[in-house]
Amino acid sequence: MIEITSLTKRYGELVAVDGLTLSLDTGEVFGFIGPNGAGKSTTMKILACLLKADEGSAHVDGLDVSRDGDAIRRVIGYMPDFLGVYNDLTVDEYLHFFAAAFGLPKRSRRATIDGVLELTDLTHKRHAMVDGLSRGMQQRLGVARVLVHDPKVLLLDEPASGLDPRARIEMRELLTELGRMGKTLIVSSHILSELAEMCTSIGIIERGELLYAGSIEDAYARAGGSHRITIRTEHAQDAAPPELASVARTLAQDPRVASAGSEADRIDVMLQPGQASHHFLLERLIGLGVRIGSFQAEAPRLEDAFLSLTKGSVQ
Amino acid sequence: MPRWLLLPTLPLRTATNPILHRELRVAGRRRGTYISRGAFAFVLALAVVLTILIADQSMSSAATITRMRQLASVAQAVTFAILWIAFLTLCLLGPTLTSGAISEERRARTLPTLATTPITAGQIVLGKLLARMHEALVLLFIAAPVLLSLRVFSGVPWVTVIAFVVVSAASALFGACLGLLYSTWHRGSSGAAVFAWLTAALAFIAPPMIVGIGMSNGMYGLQQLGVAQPVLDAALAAGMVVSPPIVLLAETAGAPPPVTIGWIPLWLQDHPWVVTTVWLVLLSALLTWSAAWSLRRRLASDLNDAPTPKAQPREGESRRLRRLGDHPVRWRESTKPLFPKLWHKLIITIALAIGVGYAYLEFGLDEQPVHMLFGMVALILIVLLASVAATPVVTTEREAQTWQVLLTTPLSAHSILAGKLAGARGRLGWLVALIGLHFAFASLLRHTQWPLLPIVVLIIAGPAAFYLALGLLLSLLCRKSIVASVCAVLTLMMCWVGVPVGIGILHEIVAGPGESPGAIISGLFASHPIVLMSTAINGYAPDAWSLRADPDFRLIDWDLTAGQFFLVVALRAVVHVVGAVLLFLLATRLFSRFGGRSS
Repeated sequence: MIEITSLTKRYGELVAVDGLTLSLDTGEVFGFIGPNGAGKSTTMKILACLLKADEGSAHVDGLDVSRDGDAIRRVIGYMPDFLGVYNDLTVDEYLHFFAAAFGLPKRSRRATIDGVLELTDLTHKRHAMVDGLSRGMQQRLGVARVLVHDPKVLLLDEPASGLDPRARIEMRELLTELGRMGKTLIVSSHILSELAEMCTSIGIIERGELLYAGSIEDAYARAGGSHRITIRTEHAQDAAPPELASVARTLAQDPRVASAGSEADRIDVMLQPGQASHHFLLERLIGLGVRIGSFQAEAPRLEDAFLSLTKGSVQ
Repeated sequence: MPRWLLLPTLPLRTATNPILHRELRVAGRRRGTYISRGAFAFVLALAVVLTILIADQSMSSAATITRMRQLASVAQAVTFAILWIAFLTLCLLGPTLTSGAISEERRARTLPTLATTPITAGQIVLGKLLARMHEALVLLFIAAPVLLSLRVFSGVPWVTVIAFVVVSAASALFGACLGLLYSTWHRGSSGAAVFAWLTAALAFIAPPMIVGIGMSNGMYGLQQLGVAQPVLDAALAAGMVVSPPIVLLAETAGAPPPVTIGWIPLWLQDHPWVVTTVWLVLLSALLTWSAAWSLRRRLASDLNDAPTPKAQPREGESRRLRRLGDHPVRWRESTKPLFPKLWHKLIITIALAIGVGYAYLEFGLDEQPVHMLFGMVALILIVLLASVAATPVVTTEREAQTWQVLLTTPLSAHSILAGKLAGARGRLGWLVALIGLHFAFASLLRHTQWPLLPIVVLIIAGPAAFYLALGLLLSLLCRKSIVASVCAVLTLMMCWVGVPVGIGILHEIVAGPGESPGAIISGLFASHPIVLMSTAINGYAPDAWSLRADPDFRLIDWDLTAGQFFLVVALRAVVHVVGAVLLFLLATRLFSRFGGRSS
């Protein structure tokens, strides 16, 4: 659905996007991650035919962004990282404006708008002025706007920025629903945990260079992200407790364990990257006579992978 | 401690005003600051070069007393031209500099941040005013050496030069304060600038007009009511003196004061510009205080008032939506009201009703001056408004960050720009309808002949279309609406005033003073819309007693028949419309490059 090859964009001496190559399939939900000024918005603007690339090529649904602007605008829905709404219109008028701008036939506009209002949970606000909506609702209206012409591809630049926790959860659910509907999404966000729950693949970009593109699991593996297990032990009154340091040493000898250590009544175990199953630890601990108070498994976090893959430098 | 006790510390508080410092620093970084200074210096330098050319030409030929006198006369004309250019530029510049002062802060949402600091509304207003007036003063400093050098050739008294400089600076200050006040009310800077320009024009023109009309009507019957003559004289003098253009005109002509008043010192009567300056400074102080008060109220309401969702009546909404059709941009432009608030509409309606009612009652439709007044005011006002009506259409979308969203729709450049242009044109429609009604009414009552109506429409519509298209192009090219508006108004002034004056001066240089202009120059002057309007009204709306079946038209040097005159008007309109079409096509060509679309 989206093919980007050696895409480069410069602003004077600053290289905003540096030879970016990326391929996305239909129905993929792609999370675009990177520090501020990494080149995410520039890439999205090039795909939305708002910026001209200096080198390389980009195709959306087989259409060239440098030549087929008119056709691409019918295929994509672009939501910038700012609100950009007409404050002096009502929600209904705003959506009708864009329905007309996208050339929807007059007779089908009402039904389409009813549908997107329902999807974005804005039906009860259809006669409210855009100016009077909360930021979260304005963001949802932005999503409703990009859905009016039923595009195949959605480019959403920081759709959850500035939203409160509830509005963020609502936005995440909405985007997950769009992914289920089979749309190809490129979503940039700073809230990495949300992307991890929503995306089928991610791309990490820094200083215009795409450092990684692929599945989230591969990103963990590439970044050395491992499951961490924390075990707390209990003392029995009638028996001497096993020495935790020796238990930790025994666990560390298992090939599936990367490292193990103990402190007071706690044992910390790091599994090998890619190793998600941890039932064998329970069996070994019981076998060694350890009384388990709590057993807590922590999956690797996208933040860890992101920090590991990037240097934290911005342009 | 009472506030007035803090008054002596004002200079210190001003010097340490953080707003002033920030504004000066930002202006110093802006490229436009240096471009405007360079352009102003270039225009003045050009004037000096012209004067030297005249001097050179005069000296190379026989150096007779006559030639020297001619040189002095031309140099004097150039000096006064520069003084007037400086005055008009500063009058235009004053509101322009400050019209975005507060609205920019509101758009950037920095006002609440400022409100959380100990900075007062007065400090914000004063800081912004002083920083922006600093730019006007720099321009005056640039003009000073040029004016002094020209004085050597022209022999214009130094008091006159000082009078011009001081009154120009005071007028700029007055305009700047007006712009600042409107900036606290308006969201857009160009709207604030237009209202400030119109208010300044009204403040400069209305008092002498009222006094002038009063003089011809026995001071509105006040004499009969027993009002003493010295009071009437003082009112008459005040009406003249508060108008900077009238005072400067008197300085240019070296005319004596209009009325001698015994109790005013003679030196003050000889130099009325001192009173004008004091008056303008006092008005400016009042306006600054009003702007500070208005800003304080705005800050308080921004911080304290909860946002109230505005309800929209469903009936009105569906009626509006029915008009949407397949041209969303045109529809959206048409939904923008010309006067967004009820009190705007009320003020405009009352002002128009008073103006039109007075003209009808005082003169009647059977007298030529009323038609001349309506025709000229309509021509100047409509073309001036046309030049600024389209300048915000793209820039405000850019400033509101809705432009990029619009560009991601499949709407073509032609569709977007045509919609914007249609909306801007529609906002002027009421004024054209009003003037059309006047001439239709006069024609129905047989006070004018019927061809006057289509001719007036043609004379107005051509330039209006041209300047609307120019405004649209400038809106696409400029980042800020205020810059686009100023460029449009300057172009209009250049074409309507600058070019005729420039041609006149060049003719003086090339052909020598006193020589009659050739056919081409006469033709250029004859096709000026103001000349055409004046000729049309002279021809078709003479006084009732001399209404003729076959009017004749004297256009500069030519006596034309009605048919020939119509052809001239129609040709001029066609030239303007063709120019408008070319500007529109240029805008569509440049759309991708300057609008922000890659393909």
